[in-house]
Amino acid sequence: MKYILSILSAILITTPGFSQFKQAKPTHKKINTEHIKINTANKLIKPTNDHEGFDYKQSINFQNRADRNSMAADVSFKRTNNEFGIPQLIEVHTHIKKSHFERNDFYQLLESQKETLKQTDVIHSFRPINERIEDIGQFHVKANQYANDVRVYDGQISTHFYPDGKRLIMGRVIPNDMFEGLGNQATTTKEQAFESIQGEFSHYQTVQWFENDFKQWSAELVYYNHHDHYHLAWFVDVYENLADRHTYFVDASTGEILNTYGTICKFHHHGNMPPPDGPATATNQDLLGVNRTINTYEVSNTFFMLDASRPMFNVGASELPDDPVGGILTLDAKNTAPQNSNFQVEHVTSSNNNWSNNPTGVSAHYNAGQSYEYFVNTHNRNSINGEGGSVYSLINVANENGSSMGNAFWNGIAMFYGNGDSAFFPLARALDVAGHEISHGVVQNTANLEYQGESGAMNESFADIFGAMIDRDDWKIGEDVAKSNVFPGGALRDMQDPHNNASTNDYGSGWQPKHVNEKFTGSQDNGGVHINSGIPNHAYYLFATEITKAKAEKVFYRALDLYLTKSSKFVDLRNAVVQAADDLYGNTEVDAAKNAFSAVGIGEGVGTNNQEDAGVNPGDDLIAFYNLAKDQLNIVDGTVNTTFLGNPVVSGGLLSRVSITDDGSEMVVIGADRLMYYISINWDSGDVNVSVLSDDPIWRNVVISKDGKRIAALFDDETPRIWVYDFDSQNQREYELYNPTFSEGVSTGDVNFADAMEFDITGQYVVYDASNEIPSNTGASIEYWDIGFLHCWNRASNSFTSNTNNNYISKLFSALPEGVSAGNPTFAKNSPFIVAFDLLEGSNYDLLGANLETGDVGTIFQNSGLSWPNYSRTDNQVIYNLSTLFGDDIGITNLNGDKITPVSNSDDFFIIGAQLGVWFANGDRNLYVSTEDKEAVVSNISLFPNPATDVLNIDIREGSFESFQIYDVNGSLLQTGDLQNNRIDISGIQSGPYVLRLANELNWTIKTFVKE
Amino acid sequence: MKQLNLAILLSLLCIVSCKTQKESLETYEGMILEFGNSGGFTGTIDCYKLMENGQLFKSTDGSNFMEIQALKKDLAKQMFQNFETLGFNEMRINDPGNMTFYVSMGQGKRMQTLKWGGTSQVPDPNLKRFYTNLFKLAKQSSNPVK
Repeated sequence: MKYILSILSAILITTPGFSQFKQAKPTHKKINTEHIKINTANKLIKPTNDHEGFDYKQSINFQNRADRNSMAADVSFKRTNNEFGIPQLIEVHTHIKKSHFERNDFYQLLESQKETLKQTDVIHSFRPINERIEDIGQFHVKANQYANDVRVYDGQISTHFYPDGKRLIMGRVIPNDMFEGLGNQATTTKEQAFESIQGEFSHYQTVQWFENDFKQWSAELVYYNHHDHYHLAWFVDVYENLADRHTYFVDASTGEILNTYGTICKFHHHGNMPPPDGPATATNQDLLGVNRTINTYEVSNTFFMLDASRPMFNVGASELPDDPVGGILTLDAKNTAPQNSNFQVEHVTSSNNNWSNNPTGVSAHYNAGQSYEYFVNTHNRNSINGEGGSVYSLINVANENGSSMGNAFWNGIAMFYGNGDSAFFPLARALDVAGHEISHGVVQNTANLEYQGESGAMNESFADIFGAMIDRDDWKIGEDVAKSNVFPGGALRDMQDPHNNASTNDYGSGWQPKHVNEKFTGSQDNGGVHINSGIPNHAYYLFATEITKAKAEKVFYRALDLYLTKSSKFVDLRNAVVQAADDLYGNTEVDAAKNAFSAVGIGEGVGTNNQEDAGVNPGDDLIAFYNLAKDQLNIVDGTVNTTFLGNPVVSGGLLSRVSITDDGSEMVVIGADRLMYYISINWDSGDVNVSVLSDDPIWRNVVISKDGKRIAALFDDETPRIWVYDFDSQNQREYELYNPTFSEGVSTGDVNFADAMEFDITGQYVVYDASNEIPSNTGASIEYWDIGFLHCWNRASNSFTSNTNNNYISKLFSALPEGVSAGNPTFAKNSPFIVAFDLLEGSNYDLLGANLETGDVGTIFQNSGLSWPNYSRTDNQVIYNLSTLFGDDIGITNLNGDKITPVSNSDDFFIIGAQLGVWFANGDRNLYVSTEDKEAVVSNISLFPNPATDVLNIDIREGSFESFQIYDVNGSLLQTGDLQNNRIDISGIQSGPYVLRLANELNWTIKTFVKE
Repeated sequence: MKQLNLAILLSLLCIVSCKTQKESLETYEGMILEFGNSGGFTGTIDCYKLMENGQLFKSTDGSNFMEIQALKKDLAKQMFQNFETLGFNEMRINDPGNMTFYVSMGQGKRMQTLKWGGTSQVPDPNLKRFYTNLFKLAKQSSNPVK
């Protein structure tokens, strides 16, 4: 019987929320786990397959869920919403094909989307600041947002128009109503605002760069977001000298300083200098012992390391040598540290234009000039800021304690070079170091990728990519500064092989992940920005070697300049690069981009092992469920659901949802008596055994891994911990639950306790939901539910993961909007990167599906209560709890191929008077596609003939493979052996489609073929 | 004689009981003050964890900490007090940059962390001074504990 959701939902009585449906915050005494005994003898059936599997990729955190309800036919929202519910990327497909655009097109596009953008008058809301028409018929407009004729400081969009009818709106828009009642008339003058800033300087007495008078300042009235509220504020820019710029936001009503940013060291001022004498050149050896010709500048018989020879140099606006406009200036920090109060900076000078005593200065100065030239010549970018701004390098920078610094960094305005330590030669020595650091400046002035998490890793990666293109003779980073006794690969990083000849996870020796399944998930290094950059680095390497460096660098620069934004993630990078490749070139380059990203595990495509489905379980479709009294566990045939196979299998009060191994032979459940029960089923004989796995009456929930090797359980005391037991080693480990965040200092509240759980297909991760509590100043704390992933088992080492470091938890959503809860997660049966879960927002209950790889979220079903979803054997359907006027039943919805969106009008009742259904099967399958810790590669191989009859030949054009396996479409292994003469005898298998897997010591790849 | 022995015993007991108990970082449940920096071209990490009793630990990877020479207990206590006295427990700054500096204090997984080094926020000068002092103290104590 079909049901009509809209009719039912309109007349249903509101059902309880998560916190009501699930249990309230506990008051139980914490259970001591020291004396827990698991009666392993009762575990009658042991799986014999020692499955190896691919890592579940736990890395994607949805900042916000995608907009699900307001999609028009020709509009899609590809990126997540901002905190006001406005999409950060809107893609519009019109039927208007043209190659000439003008500003009116910009406003027409915004007008068509003004409801989504939450604007009332787009003409007054957006004022273009930059328009670019390209030869290829594209049109790009960047615009600032205004309200009440006042600029919204953090509101800015970029719009993109394509000849084929596609339009993009990217960026951050603030709803109009946020500014209602704020007015646009300041009650303080800008002079008063400036005065209040000067008063603030008394607090900065120890900061030496405020010692002089101000030379210049400006003020603009803006709407500024301070602690989630918009203020009418004076935006005051203060310039002290050539390198010092400070920005203040001063409340235009109260005069309070709301925020300030922008800082840079100042170098020693040389006082009044005579008029400049002009540019010069010199040739001296750099730190590599190579003669370099550098541009210098003479002022009154003193030569400065100032390059004023570039087209960007503006002699009229410059005060030389201190304040060049468009110059490249190298300065000396005199072995002081910018963190210390004694930090000093002086000019690098010479009385005779001979710099043989300063090879460090020669290197830094020459390399800065080379890097500048690269961006001008290759990307038509006029210096770091794109507007001919000066380039500053500081040499001889020390650590805080005065020791030599083995590092180089970009501080937002200048490059800083240390003189090396036990691990590094002087950092100014290498061209790719300069290229890397100057590229950070370019990133800052384009997408301004946030320096943490994936966006931070992309920031680092772009610095490496352009660094490698500036120093383009190899794919190594820092090979001229890294000491081989520390870095066995001879370089700090290697884009071709991010493992860099170092031991796995030995980050200190230069090892980086080259695939998403190796991604670092800890909190140090701002979430692994220097570690995970290896993944996009390797994607770039694959892309560039496929289409040439000359094309790849242009594509990546365009992606950075036009499409990426501050909070972009890996999947956004893929989309941006694919789009940029399409803009500049054609299908070959687009395909190369897709393949490169797929090969490193980013986004869709072949060659990734974290996007790869496991083979489908070849057994029967079976459903385990409870009756409404929750005292009978029943099993029915999943295809003919009225056929009860066991009725009931188990009787007696049941507390937790049943958890079942992949082959259907083992089940675990908690009884109403709080004991842990183990059920084994012999599907050949039909024998069912029920035994007590733990006779301690302390349990509330238990789940078993798909291979039956371990269980995860919750105690009845409802404390924030998950207890995991491994049957093979008979060891246990307890994991305290916490809420990780890269944004330390931002509270996400405390975890109260977990509730629903499920193992992933590899047995390494447990997805769970948990109640959380955020203390409130008003006294009433905010409670919400969210979904986390516990990494509890390490397959490679066959051991528990550490429970002492704070890096074993990741979250599905890093920040749920207030009033929204998520829970009851379940994995797709064959796609470990797909989950379904409940989302509760007010009185709306949505059953959602999410692809952790692509970030896509779909609404599978809008329910009237919690769904407790579960995927079918083939993932083409989802079953769930369904409350209607007719009673409580299990419903079913058919799914599209993406497994996260429903087939229209496919909702139906499935099992009447039932709840908490679990779909399972009783066949054996290879749970995983990849094996060991090998890498998936996209190989240049082909199979012939295909279809084949008796012999399958393999043409391997690059590298070699040593072994093969042949699987059927259900994932069952049919044939395996060593690969000899690149020929395989397939005479023993039946006609049909098959998957061939080839492997060598390090890599594997798959190809499909057909046996005739 | 008996009284003397008792006095010696009591003195010994006092010495034993008054001596600061050495804590393990893995099992320690008290307040921790953590600080350090990371980043740059090399991505180097240099960070420390300080216990209230002065025990000090150093790490160059952010996860494996080695105990180094302890600070004096009253000095350590002062640093913990300063964190609150200077209002850092109510301050919010999360602005990582290519070179990031941080100070963090708390218990278990509930840490108040202040990060700076980016271009969006200027750290309070007291915070920078506090960090520099901590760092200097740590660098002076860089000998490992035998």
